[in-house]
Amino acid sequence: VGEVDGTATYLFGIVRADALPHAAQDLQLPGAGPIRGLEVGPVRAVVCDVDPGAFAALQDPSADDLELLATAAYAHDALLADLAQQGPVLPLRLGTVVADDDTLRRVLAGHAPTLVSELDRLDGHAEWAVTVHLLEDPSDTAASEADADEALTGRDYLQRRRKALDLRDERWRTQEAVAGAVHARLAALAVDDEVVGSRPLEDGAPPLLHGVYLVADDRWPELERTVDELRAAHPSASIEVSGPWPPYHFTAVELDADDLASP
Amino acid sequence: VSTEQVSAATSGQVLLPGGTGDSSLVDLLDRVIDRGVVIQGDLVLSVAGIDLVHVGLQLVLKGVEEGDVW
Repeated sequence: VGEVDGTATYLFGIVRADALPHAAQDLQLPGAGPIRGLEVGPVRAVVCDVDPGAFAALQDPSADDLELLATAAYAHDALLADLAQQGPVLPLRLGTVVADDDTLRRVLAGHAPTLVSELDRLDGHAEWAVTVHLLEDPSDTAASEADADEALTGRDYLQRRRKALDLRDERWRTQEAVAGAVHARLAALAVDDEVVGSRPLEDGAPPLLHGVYLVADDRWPELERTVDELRAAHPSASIEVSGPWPPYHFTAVELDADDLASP
Repeated sequence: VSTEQVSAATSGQVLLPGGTGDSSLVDLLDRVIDRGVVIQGDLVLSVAGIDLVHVGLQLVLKGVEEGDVW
């Protein structure tokens, strides 16, 4: 099965072969062909035809390319989310393009046992992301402004300064405790978890906690209750929860294509 | 395409209100560019140079935030 000259195969994700995903018709990558399935033994790749140069501009992105990337990212994620609702899915990294269907068949056939066991592991689970920020304590700002208004003797100044530093240390310890407590509660109801230290595109100071949790679907109500309790217990923190996501953080699989390259 | 327009389409929905700010485009890109199954090897055309994408995007996103690009 040869491909038309000038097209390559874009890979969204991998599902079980017995899954017959009905992808939303309007979902499409910019400038790409319709979404189709490619059955390879026990698995099915969800793919589309794409111009091999479609993403070349992203090597040195401008604002216009960012729009292309954003559109591609949303389409990629939306399709994977759609698949995840129907059964387990292994999300591919955005922009995975191989030369043609035959290449992809070879790679997937060579790694079929790994892919099947990953799909089994993720079946009935979804990824949830939790970000904890500390809300600013208004009394601190007020206190320091009051300090600035007064003319102070050197000794008074030093005393106040020490007190402020003690307060800061205490707040830092409180923050650590909040992050630890939130993570411990969530990790306890997850089958897998990861504290994401820093994210490549994150701008500015990282939050107090950014954690991802692989949670069984039947424990969502418990997750929701736990978040409610954590919010009540830690009013000084803002706890943001998003999900369910396709299991992006829990599919750390690398498929080596070169091993299988020989005809 | 503004971040507001597209943010509603991400798969991860906010479970409970209480969030501050909307960083969902960056949030999504960090997921789909940095994570997921990877195919290694010369047969993969891919978005060559994912590291370059990161560096370039940081500059672009910074520009967007500061309002000097759009």
